[in-house]
Amino acid sequence: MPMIEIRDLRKSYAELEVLKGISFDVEKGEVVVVLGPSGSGKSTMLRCINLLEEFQGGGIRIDGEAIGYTTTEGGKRRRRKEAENAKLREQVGMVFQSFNLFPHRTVLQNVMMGPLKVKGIARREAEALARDLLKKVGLLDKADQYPARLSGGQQQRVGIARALAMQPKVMLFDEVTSALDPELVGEVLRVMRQLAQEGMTMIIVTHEIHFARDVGDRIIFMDHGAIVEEGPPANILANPKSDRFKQFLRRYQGDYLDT
Amino acid sequence: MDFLVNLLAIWARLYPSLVSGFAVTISVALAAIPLALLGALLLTPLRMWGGSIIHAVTGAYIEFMRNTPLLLQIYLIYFGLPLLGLYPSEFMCGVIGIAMQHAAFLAEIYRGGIESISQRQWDAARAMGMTWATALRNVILPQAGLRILGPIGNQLIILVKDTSLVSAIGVVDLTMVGKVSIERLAVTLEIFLAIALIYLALTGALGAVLRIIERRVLERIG
Repeated sequence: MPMIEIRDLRKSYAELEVLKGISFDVEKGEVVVVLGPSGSGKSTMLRCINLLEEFQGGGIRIDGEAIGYTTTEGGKRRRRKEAENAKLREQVGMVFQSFNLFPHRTVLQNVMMGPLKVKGIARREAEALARDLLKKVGLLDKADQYPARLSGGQQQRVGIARALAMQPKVMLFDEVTSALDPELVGEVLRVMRQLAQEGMTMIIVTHEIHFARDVGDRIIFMDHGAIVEEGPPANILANPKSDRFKQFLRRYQGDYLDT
Repeated sequence: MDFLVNLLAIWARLYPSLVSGFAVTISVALAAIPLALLGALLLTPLRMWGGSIIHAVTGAYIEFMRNTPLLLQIYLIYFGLPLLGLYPSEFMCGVIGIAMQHAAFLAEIYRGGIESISQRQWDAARAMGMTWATALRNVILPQAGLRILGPIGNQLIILVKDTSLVSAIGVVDLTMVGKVSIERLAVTLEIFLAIALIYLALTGALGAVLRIIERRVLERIG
């Protein structure tokens, strides 16, 4: 059974269809990188996976559990209860382009909040876990700082630690380096690379093609709300089939050659 | 020089009644402030998440309260409640009127604070598995609370000044003491000056306390 199973995912805003039937699986420990121009629907697709966006058709399963909606035997689609969906989201860690740390809490408190308030584990245990994770992302010395005092790269690493604190089965990365100064991108990618090596199941939406080739087990190229091409990085990057993917790669070729 | 001597003489003579007026003004404010803060706390969730009918009703209440003069509202309560068979004291009528209007303003401040927190904070909270209520309590409200400290302080200062309107229904507060003294002593400016300075001291002290609280809370965040 795949860890993530996406079948015919459809989403529209009124008349505008932004996801036109997306289907793919992610195996346990697999790293899937999603590429695509802005507006291709890749971030929206990612946000559907933990139901930050509603979707109107198709289904998503994480480790066999249906996300967001269940279908009754009569074929009727029913939204799952808020508490059930919250429970499912616990298993899916998410890291955002704009970090979204909680500004009123210290770095340590940010990382502890999930275990403490969602899982309800003891404070001492939560703190030990949080300190471990901050050490892992190299920020243990910033534990008592407020997020506003940190650089973008540091904030994003806290974002990763905060997501990991829930001990999720799956991690979603939504253009996590796009808001960073170029010299800060590396420290965030390093943490992600390490996670991949440790066997975390990951879906990464990014424009970092070099990183995609290095770390990804598979690349999916999306455009206009649909998957255009997919395959192992070496193959697909060397021999893009569609014009749209060729064009996309040409636009990012600079990055690709430089790094 | 003569004016000053004269002024001090009048103030000395007024001193006992000013003190008692001051005590009444403080009492009105101290009774109305918690009522207004709590009333707003009740209104805000109804307004924001109460469903369409409750939303409309609380909206109408807030608009009425914000858009009619407080003096008129106090009159409505003072002359209206007896028709319902209720006879609260003048003091109570004043406190209720002030609390009801300021609750409406405060509810809008609370709502503004909550709505000012970015959707991204909700996303981050819910992505880690928080339910709506857990996210509201741990992520949204603490941030909203910090943001509205200043506006709440402003509103409370306005409330303190608005307590002078209870004099219109015969509560012997600071303003009423002034009115009576003017008739008794046949001087105006000296008395109004004394009253104004006392209000200034009162709101000034309140403002200082609120600023200290705000600074204490905010300096943690940096």
